[in-house]
Amino acid sequence: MMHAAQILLDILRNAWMAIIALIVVVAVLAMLYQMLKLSVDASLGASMYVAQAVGTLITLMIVALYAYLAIPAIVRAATASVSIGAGCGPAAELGQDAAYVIAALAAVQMAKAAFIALFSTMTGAGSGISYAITEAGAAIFGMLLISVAVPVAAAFLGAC
Amino acid sequence: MNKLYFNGSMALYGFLIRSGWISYPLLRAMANGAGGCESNTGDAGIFAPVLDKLMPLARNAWAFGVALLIVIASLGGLYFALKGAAGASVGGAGMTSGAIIGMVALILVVLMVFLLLPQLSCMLQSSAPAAPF
Repeated sequence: MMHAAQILLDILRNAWMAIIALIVVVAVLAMLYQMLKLSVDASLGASMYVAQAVGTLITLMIVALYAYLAIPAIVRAATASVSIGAGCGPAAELGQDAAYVIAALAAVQMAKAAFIALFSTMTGAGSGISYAITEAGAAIFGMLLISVAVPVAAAFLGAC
Repeated sequence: MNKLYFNGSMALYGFLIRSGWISYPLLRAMANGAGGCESNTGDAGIFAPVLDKLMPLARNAWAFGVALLIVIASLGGLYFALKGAAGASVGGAGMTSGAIIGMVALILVVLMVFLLLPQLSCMLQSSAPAAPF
């Protein structure tokens, strides 16, 4: 079981690295796009669109920083604070492995949500940012549920 | 798609260099502006082939965008120069000062793209977080 969990964690770690690398690429290209927009609007004297482009540039930076600083902190805090060692016997080991894999899945899911949020910001749709924040909440809620479900399942199966 | 971007970039390169607006070393330095910094992104493992396909595409898109910005900024600068000259010849002080301010703003935008964006990109690349699990 540990071996299977380790393979899954390795795949998720690779996925995390790929998404983080793509976030840099998309953020920089989105900023370049906004700069192009800004220069055209500045040439035409459209001050409202210039302000909009500057706002989008700042938002892009905030979303990228959220992905880089907030997501790892949220995952580490959730993993450390949620009790995953509850139960006993094989159920405890299984629960611990499942919790680690769920934490990894949550991290990748949050990174993916931030990636989508970058695209939404670039195109001017604000819904992507709320989706990213909702994903973070859902991931933490899922980990809390797991921490409750494992001891209950262990007691129900008579492992303890 | 990759070929499309590449052809577009090459066409713009050709136009800019033939018209003498920019030189090869300058364009090369600008196009490679985001690629000369330390990257902290680790090995993508099984996803590395995907990244290997996407990175040249993104690099071409960056070069295409930078070349397009040069064209836009040049045309914008020409427009402001015309506006300023027209204002100066008819004694329109407001028009002339507006044109000068517009030109300065355009130069600032171009400088931001050439200096600020590569630095921001480097900052993001060097501070890429390791997997928190």
